[in-house]
Order: sequence, then C-alpha cells, then structure tokens
Amino acid sequence: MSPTDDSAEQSVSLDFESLVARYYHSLYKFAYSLTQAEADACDLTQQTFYVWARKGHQLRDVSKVKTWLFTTLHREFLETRRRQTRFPHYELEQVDAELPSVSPARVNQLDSPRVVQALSQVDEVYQAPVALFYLQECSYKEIADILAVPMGTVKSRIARGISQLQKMLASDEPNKIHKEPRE
Amino acid sequence: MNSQEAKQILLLYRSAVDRDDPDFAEAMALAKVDPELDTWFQQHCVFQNAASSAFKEIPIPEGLKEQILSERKAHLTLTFRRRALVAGCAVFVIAFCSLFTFRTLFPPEPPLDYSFANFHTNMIGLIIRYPPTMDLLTNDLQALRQNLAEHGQSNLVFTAALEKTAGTGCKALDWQDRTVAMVCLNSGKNGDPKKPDLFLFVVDKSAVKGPPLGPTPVVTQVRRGIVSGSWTSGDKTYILAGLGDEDFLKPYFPVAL
Repeated sequence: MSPTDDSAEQSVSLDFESLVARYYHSLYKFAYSLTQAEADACDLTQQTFYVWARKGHQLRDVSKVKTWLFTTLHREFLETRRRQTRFPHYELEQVDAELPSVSPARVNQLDSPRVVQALSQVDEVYQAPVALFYLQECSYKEIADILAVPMGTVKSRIARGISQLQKMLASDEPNKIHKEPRE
Repeated sequence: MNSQEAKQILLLYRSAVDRDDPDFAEAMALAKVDPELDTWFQQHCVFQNAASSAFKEIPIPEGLKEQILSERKAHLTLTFRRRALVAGCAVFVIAFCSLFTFRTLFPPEPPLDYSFANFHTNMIGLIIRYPPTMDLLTNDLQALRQNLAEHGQSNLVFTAALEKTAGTGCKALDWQDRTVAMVCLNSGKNGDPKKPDLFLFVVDKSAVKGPPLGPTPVVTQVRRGIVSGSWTSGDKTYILAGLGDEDFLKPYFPVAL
C-alpha cells in the first residue's frame, strides 16, 4: 500500500480484529527496529493495541488510525525507555557532505538482523524516523505526525540517521561513530 | 540546484514510495544529466532497497496476532465482569438507598392493635384529651339510639340506671375500621345538665380481642376522678366511664358488684 493512499485509508475498518490483522506486522517491525528484541517488540505491539482497545473510540478521524497506532507505539517505547534509564542526548551532527559508500558486496549481505543491529548503533533520536522511513508504511507527513516533530526536522533526522546507518554498515567497527553527550 | 544539494534530496528518496513525489523531480532530473550524480544515485537506490527489504523482512513471531486478540478477549471479559460487578453494586446501593429513603419518608404502619386493653385506652383517652364533636346533641336517648343505629351500631342495651339519665349527645366513632358508638350522658349530679359525666362506648364484641367475658363489670381506676367499668352483654362490649369514683359509677352497671 502506498503510504499516501488516502482512499485505502478511508476504508479502514475500526473493528479490532481487522485493525490487528492490518497493522500488527508493521507495528511489530517498527517496534523491533526500536528495541532490537523480539519480546520487547511483542510487548510494545500488544500494548499499542491494548491502548487502542481502551482509547481508540476517542479517535474521530478514521483516516488517522495508522498514524495513531504508530504514534502510540512510539510513545509507549519512549515511556518504557524513560522508565528503564535516562538515556543521554546527543548533539546533531551535520550530514557529511560525502556519504560513505557501501560496497555492492556488503549491500548483498544486508539482512534484517544486520540492519537492525546497525540501527541500534545509530543515535536514538534518529532510530524511529529511520525505521519508519525504511518500513515504507508512512509518508513523511505521517512520520512527522507520529514523532510529533515538524516535517523539516523529520527529513533532517532521517538523512542523518541514514548517514549514520550507512557508516555502520560500511564499517567493520559498528561502534566507531562519535557521539558527544549534549550539555 | 547543484550536485551536492541534489544528493541531499535524493538521500531521502524511496523508489517504492516517492516515485511521483514532486519534491524529488528536480533532483532526479539533474541526476539524469549528471553521470557522477546518477551513479551515486543508482548505488544509493540499491542500498536503500536492500535496507528497506531488510526492515520489511523482519520476521513476525508466530502467534503474535492470536496473542493480541486473546488478550483483547481477556480484557473484554475482565471489563465485562468488572462492569457487571460495578453495575451490581450500583443497583444494590441504589436499591438500598431507595428502600432506606422510602422507609424514612413512609415508615411502615405498625400492626393494628385490636386488643380490648388498647380499645379501652383509646376510648378513655378521648374523654381526657380529645373530646370529639358530637354527631347529635340531644337529651333524648331514643333519638341517640336511632342516630347510632343509622351509623351501624344498633341494639344498644342501656342498663336501667342509664335509661334514667339524660343524654347530651352521641357520635359514631371509627376505631381501626371498627364502628364504635359513643353516648354522652348526664347523671344529674354535676349541676350542669348539658355537661356529660357519663360516657358509654359500645363496640361489637368480635371487633376487639380479649373483651370482658360477661356482664359482670371489670372496674378500672383510670386516674383520679375517672373510673371505668367494662362488660360484655350479648354481641356487644361496653365501656362506661364516669367522672367520679367507683361509687359514683357502680349504680349504672348491669350487674351489681
């Protein structure tokens, strides 16, 4: 489905089972991209639908269901993280003028565990937008809504995230990226 | 737009999604005429597609959907039970409060006391506290009997002594849905012929529980200055109260004591 296919969105049924059938794959993949752990991703996905079961009736605009679900999952993830540890913030770096080149051989070796592992090494602030970007379920506008940031910020974060991800995948040493804690 | 700016734009290009996005049109057009940019773009698309595929191929745990749905059902069941419990408690509380309020506003009538003792107390109380307005004021005993007969109390038997007194009035009383005949009499001993000093109450014997068994009066000193005698004759039970002592009242009894 195209992320901007509004007519398809309009036909989204709010029936719980239909919603689960339609979105649990995408939500789980997003959750897994964020947590890199199957159990945590399952919990996040279930928690998202649990929140929907409790509060979904408050959503008036049916076309916002997908965004609502992804937003909820992301919030739950952040909440979980907040409870677990106060992770440091990092200063945004400029996107390197010259993006690292990932060799064709390495591109051919890309698989889910490797990519998700590499994503986990990317600055946390970029992880969610990059995951949503590559899952190709959401438009930039929807990603911006989900993360509650302006569109320009989303694009900037995705670009920086992709840059870091490529560096990770191009490098034999995944932890080489320099991160400086924000004051 | 130069090559570097085009790269920054094309960095976000997703071939499966952004093909028709006008934001990329100019950069893509530049790539078509810039071999170096085009080469980079092609390599980038290969990487992007591979990365995107890797994300999309994240395996879904088996049974996740069923687990989500079963948890929903469990939640619904729990919610239903909780709601049922809350509703039940609410109904109980409302019913209890309603009953309490109703009982407070409309307390249940105590069961009616048809005992002769209660009847005696009530009748004497009328003399002491609440002398009722008479239905008929006359000294004609026959007229009094007639009036009471019209109100459901006929065949009243006056003792010989009472027959010699003068009536002052009568009233048909309603005592716990029973008709009681009240006859006020003047003995001629109190100096005021219009002021009664003898009060005769007559009720059907079956209307009270535990009435006197026979014509021999049972004397009760109600209080100082008021005495009563009660007896049963035929199907009637009588209470004769007098404003005086026992000696004052005795002559009017059916049987000499």
